[in-house]
Amino acid sequence: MFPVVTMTITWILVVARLIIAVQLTRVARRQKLPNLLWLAAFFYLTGIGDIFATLAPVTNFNQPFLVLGGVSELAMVMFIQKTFYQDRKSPFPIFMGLALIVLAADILYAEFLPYHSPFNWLWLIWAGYQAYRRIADDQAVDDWIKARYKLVIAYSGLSLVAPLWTILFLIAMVVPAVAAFIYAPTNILIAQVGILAFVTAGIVLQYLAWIMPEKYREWLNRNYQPPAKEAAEADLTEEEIMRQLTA
Amino acid sequence: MNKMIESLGTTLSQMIGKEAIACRGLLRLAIIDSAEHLRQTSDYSQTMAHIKMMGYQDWKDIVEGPALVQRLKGVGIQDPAPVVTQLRQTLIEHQSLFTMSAH
Repeated sequence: MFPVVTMTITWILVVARLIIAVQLTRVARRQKLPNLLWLAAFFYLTGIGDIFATLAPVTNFNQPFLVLGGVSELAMVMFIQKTFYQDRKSPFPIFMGLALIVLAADILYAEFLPYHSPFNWLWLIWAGYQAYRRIADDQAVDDWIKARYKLVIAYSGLSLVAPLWTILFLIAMVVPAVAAFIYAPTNILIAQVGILAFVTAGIVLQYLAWIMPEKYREWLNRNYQPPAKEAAEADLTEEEIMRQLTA
Repeated sequence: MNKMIESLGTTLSQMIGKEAIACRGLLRLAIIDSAEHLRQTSDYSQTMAHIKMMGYQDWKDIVEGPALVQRLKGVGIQDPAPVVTQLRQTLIEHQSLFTMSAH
Protein backbone atom coordinates (compact mmCIF):
# COMPACT_ATOMS: atom_id res chain seq x y z
CA MET A 1 0.00 0.00 0.00
CA PHE A 2 2.71 2.46 1.07
CA PRO A 3 4.86 2.14 -2.11
CA VAL A 4 1.76 2.57 -4.29
CA VAL A 5 0.76 5.76 -2.45
CA THR A 6 4.33 7.07 -2.58
CA MET A 7 4.66 6.29 -6.28
CA THR A 8 1.33 7.97 -7.04
CA ILE A 9 2.41 11.10 -5.19
CA THR A 10 5.81 11.20 -6.90
CA TRP A 11 4.16 10.89 -10.33
CA ILE A 12 1.88 13.81 -9.43
CA LEU A 13 4.96 15.78 -8.36
CA VAL A 14 6.73 14.95 -11.63
CA VAL A 15 3.76 16.21 -13.62
CA ALA A 16 3.52 19.36 -11.46
CA ARG A 17 7.23 20.11 -11.92
CA LEU A 18 6.98 19.69 -15.70
CA ILE A 19 3.84 21.87 -15.88
CA ILE A 20 5.67 24.60 -13.94
CA ALA A 21 8.69 24.23 -16.25
CA VAL A 22 6.61 24.55 -19.41
CA GLN A 23 4.75 27.58 -18.04
CA LEU A 24 8.02 29.28 -17.05
CA THR A 25 9.44 28.62 -20.52
CA ARG A 26 6.37 30.21 -22.13
CA VAL A 27 6.50 33.27 -19.85
CA ALA A 28 10.27 33.61 -20.37
CA ARG A 29 9.83 33.67 -24.14
CA ARG A 30 6.75 35.92 -24.09
CA GLN A 31 8.19 38.45 -21.65
CA LYS A 32 11.81 38.18 -22.83
CA LEU A 33 13.08 37.05 -19.42
CA PRO A 34 16.04 34.68 -20.03
CA ASN A 35 16.59 34.29 -16.29
CA LEU A 36 13.28 32.41 -16.07
CA LEU A 37 14.70 29.82 -18.45
CA TRP A 38 17.21 28.91 -15.71
CA LEU A 39 14.34 28.39 -13.29
CA ALA A 40 12.49 26.39 -15.94
CA ALA A 41 15.65 24.30 -16.38
CA PHE A 42 15.66 23.60 -12.65
CA PHE A 43 12.11 22.22 -12.86
CA TYR A 44 12.79 20.24 -16.06
CA LEU A 45 15.91 18.66 -14.53
CA THR A 46 14.32 17.79 -11.20
CA GLY A 47 11.13 16.59 -12.93
CA ILE A 48 13.02 14.31 -15.33
CA GLY A 49 15.26 13.16 -12.49
CA ASP A 50 12.20 12.23 -10.47
CA ILE A 51 10.93 10.09 -13.35
CA PHE A 52 14.09 7.96 -13.08
CA ALA A 53 13.77 7.88 -9.29
CA THR A 54 10.14 6.75 -9.49
CA LEU A 55 10.95 4.03 -12.00
CA ALA A 56 14.15 2.94 -10.18
CA PRO A 57 12.49 0.08 -8.22
CA VAL A 58 11.60 -1.48 -11.58
CA THR A 59 14.58 -0.41 -13.74
CA ASN A 60 17.25 -0.51 -11.03
CA PHE A 61 18.74 2.55 -12.73
CA ASN A 62 18.67 5.86 -10.86
CA GLN A 63 22.00 7.41 -11.90
CA PRO A 64 20.27 10.17 -13.96
CA PHE A 65 18.24 11.09 -10.85
CA LEU A 66 21.46 11.61 -8.88
CA VAL A 67 23.25 13.58 -11.63
CA LEU A 68 20.26 15.72 -12.64
CA GLY A 69 19.71 16.60 -8.98
CA GLY A 70 23.24 18.03 -8.92
CA VAL A 71 22.93 19.78 -12.28
CA SER A 72 19.65 21.40 -11.16
CA GLU A 73 21.59 23.12 -8.37
CA LEU A 74 23.69 24.89 -11.03
CA ALA A 75 20.55 26.09 -12.79
CA MET A 76 19.20 27.45 -9.50
CA VAL A 77 22.44 29.38 -8.85
CA MET A 78 22.16 30.95 -12.30
CA PHE A 79 18.50 31.88 -11.72
CA ILE A 80 19.22 33.63 -8.42
CA GLN A 81 22.19 35.51 -9.90
CA LYS A 82 20.29 36.68 -13.00
CA THR A 83 17.14 37.62 -11.07
CA PHE A 84 18.58 39.51 -8.11
CA TYR A 85 22.24 40.38 -8.72
CA GLN A 86 22.77 42.01 -12.13
CA ASP A 87 25.26 44.90 -11.84
CA ARG A 88 25.69 44.44 -8.11
CA LYS A 89 28.06 42.68 -5.75
CA SER A 90 27.15 39.02 -5.52
CA PRO A 91 28.31 35.86 -3.70
CA PHE A 92 27.77 34.04 -7.03
CA PRO A 93 31.28 32.45 -7.26
CA ILE A 94 30.90 30.96 -3.76
CA PHE A 95 27.48 29.46 -4.45
CA MET A 96 28.52 28.21 -7.89
CA GLY A 97 31.59 26.58 -6.30
CA LEU A 98 29.44 24.91 -3.66
CA ALA A 99 26.97 23.70 -6.30
CA LEU A 100 29.83 22.20 -8.34
CA ILE A 101 31.13 20.39 -5.25
CA VAL A 102 27.63 18.97 -4.62
CA LEU A 103 27.40 17.91 -8.27
CA ALA A 104 30.77 16.15 -8.03
CA ALA A 105 29.62 14.37 -4.84
CA ASP A 106 26.40 13.30 -6.60
CA ILE A 107 28.36 11.87 -9.54
CA LEU A 108 31.07 10.18 -7.47
CA TYR A 109 29.49 9.13 -4.21
CA ALA A 110 25.67 9.28 -4.23
CA GLU A 111 23.88 5.92 -4.33
CA PHE A 112 20.15 6.21 -3.68
CA LEU A 113 19.52 9.95 -3.22
CA PRO A 114 21.42 12.98 -4.51
CA TYR A 115 23.16 15.14 -1.92
CA HIS A 116 20.69 17.97 -1.41
CA SER A 117 22.43 21.25 -0.69
CA PRO A 118 20.81 23.81 1.63
CA PHE A 119 22.96 26.66 0.29
CA ASN A 120 20.90 27.66 -2.74
CA TRP A 121 17.64 27.66 -0.78
CA LEU A 122 19.19 29.77 1.98
CA TRP A 123 20.52 32.16 -0.67
CA LEU A 124 17.12 32.37 -2.36
CA ILE A 125 15.42 33.06 0.99
CA TRP A 126 17.93 35.83 1.70
CA ALA A 127 17.84 37.41 -1.78
CA GLY A 128 14.05 37.11 -1.99
CA TYR A 129 13.54 38.64 1.45
CA GLN A 130 15.89 41.56 0.73
CA ALA A 131 14.10 42.24 -2.57
CA TYR A 132 10.68 41.91 -0.92
CA ARG A 133 11.60 44.42 1.79
CA ARG A 134 12.31 47.04 -0.88
CA ILE A 135 8.86 46.76 -2.45
CA ALA A 136 6.75 45.74 0.58
CA ASP A 137 5.44 49.27 1.20
CA ASP A 138 5.35 50.35 -2.44
CA GLN A 139 1.75 51.18 -3.37
CA ALA A 140 2.56 50.76 -7.05
CA VAL A 141 3.37 47.06 -6.64
CA ASP A 142 0.31 44.81 -6.78
CA ASP A 143 -0.50 42.55 -3.84
CA TRP A 144 -0.19 39.43 -6.00
CA ILE A 145 3.41 40.36 -6.85
CA LYS A 146 4.20 40.82 -3.16
CA ALA A 147 2.54 37.46 -2.49
CA ARG A 148 4.78 35.83 -5.09
CA TYR A 149 7.87 37.00 -3.18
CA LYS A 150 6.41 35.48 -0.01
CA LEU A 151 5.59 32.21 -1.79
CA VAL A 152 9.15 31.96 -3.12
CA ILE A 153 10.53 32.51 0.39
CA ALA A 154 8.05 29.99 1.84
CA TYR A 155 8.77 27.19 -0.62
CA SER A 156 12.50 27.79 -0.24
CA GLY A 157 12.04 27.27 3.51
CA LEU A 158 10.14 24.01 2.96
CA SER A 159 12.81 22.86 0.53
CA LEU A 160 15.39 22.93 3.33
CA VAL A 161 14.01 19.70 4.79
CA ALA A 162 15.62 17.41 2.19
CA PRO A 163 19.07 19.01 2.70
CA LEU A 164 18.58 18.51 6.44
CA TRP A 165 18.48 14.77 5.77
CA THR A 166 21.72 15.08 3.75
CA ILE A 167 23.35 16.92 6.65
CA LEU A 168 22.22 14.22 9.12
CA PHE A 169 23.51 11.58 6.71
CA LEU A 170 26.94 13.28 6.57
CA ILE A 171 27.05 13.65 10.36
CA ALA A 172 26.17 9.95 10.67
CA MET A 173 29.39 9.12 8.80
CA VAL A 174 31.45 10.35 11.74
CA VAL A 175 29.05 10.16 14.72
CA PRO A 176 27.89 6.57 15.41
CA ALA A 177 25.03 7.69 17.69
CA VAL A 178 23.52 9.74 14.85
CA ALA A 179 24.02 6.81 12.48
CA ALA A 180 22.18 4.49 14.87
CA PHE A 181 19.35 7.02 15.10
CA ILE A 182 18.82 7.76 11.41
CA TYR A 183 19.29 4.15 10.25
CA ALA A 184 16.66 2.81 12.65
CA PRO A 185 13.95 1.36 10.35
CA THR A 186 11.17 3.41 11.93
CA ASN A 187 13.15 6.63 11.65
CA ILE A 188 14.00 5.97 7.99
CA LEU A 189 10.31 5.51 7.27
CA ILE A 190 9.41 8.67 9.21
CA ALA A 191 12.12 10.58 7.33
CA GLN A 192 10.88 9.33 3.95
CA VAL A 193 7.26 10.24 4.71
CA GLY A 194 8.32 13.57 6.23
CA ILE A 195 10.54 14.55 3.30
CA LEU A 196 7.81 13.55 0.83
CA ALA A 197 5.25 15.65 2.76
CA PHE A 198 7.51 18.71 2.78
CA VAL A 199 8.50 18.25 -0.88
CA THR A 200 4.80 17.97 -1.78
CA ALA A 201 3.93 21.12 0.19
CA GLY A 202 6.89 22.89 -1.44
CA ILE A 203 5.74 21.98 -4.94
CA VAL A 204 2.19 23.16 -4.16
CA LEU A 205 3.67 26.55 -3.22
CA GLN A 206 5.94 26.52 -6.30
CA TYR A 207 2.86 25.86 -8.41
CA LEU A 208 0.97 28.73 -6.79
CA ALA A 209 3.98 31.05 -7.16
CA TRP A 210 4.85 30.38 -10.79
CA ILE A 211 1.65 29.11 -12.38
CA MET A 212 -0.53 31.33 -10.22
CA PRO A 213 -4.01 30.50 -11.59
CA GLU A 214 -5.93 33.62 -12.64
CA LYS A 215 -8.63 33.20 -9.96
CA TYR A 216 -5.97 32.88 -7.28
CA ARG A 217 -4.16 35.98 -8.62
CA GLU A 218 -7.41 37.94 -8.60
CA TRP A 219 -8.09 36.79 -5.04
CA LEU A 220 -4.62 37.89 -3.91
CA ASN A 221 -5.20 41.27 -5.52
CA ARG A 222 -8.76 41.71 -4.19
CA ASN A 223 -7.88 44.66 -1.93
CA TYR A 224 -5.34 46.33 -4.22
CA GLN A 225 -5.96 49.95 -5.21
CA PRO A 226 -3.68 51.23 -7.99
CA PRO A 227 -2.22 54.63 -7.05
CA ALA A 228 -2.86 56.39 -10.36
CA LYS A 229 -5.43 56.05 -13.11
CA GLU A 230 -3.75 55.12 -16.35
CA ALA A 231 -6.44 56.97 -18.31
CA ALA A 232 -5.36 60.33 -16.84
CA GLU A 233 -1.76 59.55 -17.72
CA ALA A 234 -2.68 58.62 -21.27
CA ASP A 235 -4.17 62.08 -21.79
CA LEU A 236 -0.93 63.88 -20.89
CA THR A 237 0.70 65.40 -23.97
CA GLU A 238 4.42 66.13 -24.24
CA GLU A 239 3.72 69.83 -23.75
CA GLU A 240 1.72 69.18 -20.58
CA ILE A 241 4.44 66.91 -19.17
CA MET A 242 7.13 69.53 -19.82
CA ARG A 243 4.90 72.31 -18.44
CA GLN A 244 4.25 70.36 -15.21
CA LEU A 245 7.94 69.63 -14.75
CA THR A 246 9.11 73.19 -15.39
CA ALA A 247 6.38 74.90 -13.36
CA MET B 1 0.99 49.33 -15.91
CA ASN B 2 4.66 48.42 -16.06
CA LYS B 3 6.07 48.23 -12.53
CA MET B 4 9.53 49.53 -13.37
CA ILE B 5 8.26 52.80 -14.85
CA GLU B 6 6.27 53.30 -11.64
CA SER B 7 9.28 52.60 -9.42
CA LEU B 8 11.59 54.82 -11.47
CA GLY B 9 8.89 57.50 -11.70
CA THR B 10 8.57 57.52 -7.91
CA THR B 11 12.35 57.82 -7.53
CA LEU B 12 12.51 60.64 -10.08
CA SER B 13 9.63 62.37 -8.32
CA GLN B 14 11.48 62.21 -5.00
CA MET B 15 14.71 63.45 -6.59
CA ILE B 16 13.32 66.47 -8.43
CA GLY B 17 10.26 67.22 -6.27
CA LYS B 18 7.65 66.98 -9.05
CA GLU B 19 4.47 64.93 -9.48
CA ALA B 20 5.10 61.21 -10.11
CA ILE B 21 2.66 61.19 -13.03
CA ALA B 22 4.72 63.87 -14.82
CA CYS B 23 7.96 62.06 -13.97
CA ARG B 24 6.63 58.88 -15.53
CA GLY B 25 5.73 61.01 -18.53
CA LEU B 26 9.32 62.25 -18.75
CA LEU B 27 10.63 58.68 -18.65
CA ARG B 28 8.14 57.79 -21.37
CA LEU B 29 9.37 60.66 -23.53
CA ALA B 30 12.98 59.53 -23.08
CA ILE B 31 11.96 56.03 -24.20
CA ILE B 32 10.16 57.46 -27.24
CA ASP B 33 13.27 59.54 -28.07
CA SER B 34 15.34 56.33 -28.00
CA ALA B 35 13.07 54.20 -30.17
CA GLU B 36 12.78 55.05 -33.86
CA HIS B 37 9.41 53.34 -34.34
CA LEU B 38 7.88 55.17 -31.37
CA ARG B 39 9.04 58.60 -32.58
CA GLN B 40 6.78 58.23 -35.60
CA THR B 41 3.65 57.90 -33.47
CA SER B 42 2.26 59.55 -30.37
CA ASP B 43 0.04 56.59 -29.51
CA TYR B 44 0.13 56.04 -25.75
CA SER B 45 -0.95 52.40 -25.84
CA GLN B 46 1.74 51.56 -28.40
CA THR B 47 4.35 53.20 -26.20
CA MET B 48 3.11 51.31 -23.14
CA ALA B 49 3.12 48.03 -25.08
CA HIS B 50 6.78 48.72 -25.90
CA ILE B 51 7.55 49.57 -22.26
CA LYS B 52 5.83 46.39 -21.06
CA MET B 53 8.33 44.34 -23.05
CA MET B 54 11.37 46.23 -21.75
CA GLY B 55 13.75 44.15 -19.66
CA TYR B 56 16.56 45.05 -17.30
CA GLN B 57 19.10 45.84 -20.03
CA ASP B 58 16.57 47.97 -21.97
CA TRP B 59 15.87 50.06 -18.88
CA LYS B 60 19.57 50.32 -18.11
CA ASP B 61 20.13 51.71 -21.61
CA ILE B 62 17.39 54.29 -21.04
CA VAL B 63 18.55 55.33 -17.57
CA GLU B 64 22.18 55.68 -18.68
CA GLY B 65 21.40 56.96 -22.17
CA PRO B 66 21.68 60.46 -23.63
CA ALA B 67 17.92 60.88 -24.25
CA LEU B 68 17.06 60.96 -20.54
CA VAL B 69 19.93 63.32 -19.76
CA GLN B 70 18.68 65.66 -22.49
CA ARG B 71 15.13 65.48 -21.15
CA LEU B 72 16.30 66.18 -17.59
CA LYS B 73 18.30 69.19 -18.79
CA GLY B 74 15.24 70.26 -20.75
CA VAL B 75 13.22 70.61 -17.54
CA GLY B 76 15.91 72.68 -15.87
CA ILE B 77 18.05 70.09 -14.08
CA GLN B 78 21.55 71.45 -14.60
CA ASP B 79 23.36 68.41 -13.19
CA PRO B 80 21.48 65.21 -14.10
CA ALA B 81 24.28 62.89 -12.86
CA PRO B 82 22.97 62.40 -9.28
CA VAL B 83 19.46 61.80 -10.64
CA VAL B 84 20.76 59.21 -13.11
CA THR B 85 22.78 57.54 -10.33
CA GLN B 86 19.70 57.27 -8.12
CA LEU B 87 17.58 55.92 -10.97
CA ARG B 88 20.25 53.32 -11.72
CA GLN B 89 20.24 52.36 -8.03
CA THR B 90 16.44 51.91 -8.06
CA LEU B 91 16.69 49.81 -11.22
CA ILE B 92 19.31 47.53 -9.63
CA GLU B 93 17.44 47.20 -6.33
CA HIS B 94 14.08 46.51 -7.99
CA GLN B 95 15.40 44.25 -10.79
CA SER B 96 13.56 41.21 -9.41
CA LEU B 97 10.26 42.96 -10.24
CA PHE B 98 10.77 42.04 -13.91
CA THR B 99 10.59 38.39 -12.91
CA MET B 100 8.10 38.59 -10.08
CA SER B 101 5.55 40.61 -12.06
CA ALA B 102 5.70 38.34 -15.12
CA HIS B 103 2.65 36.21 -15.87
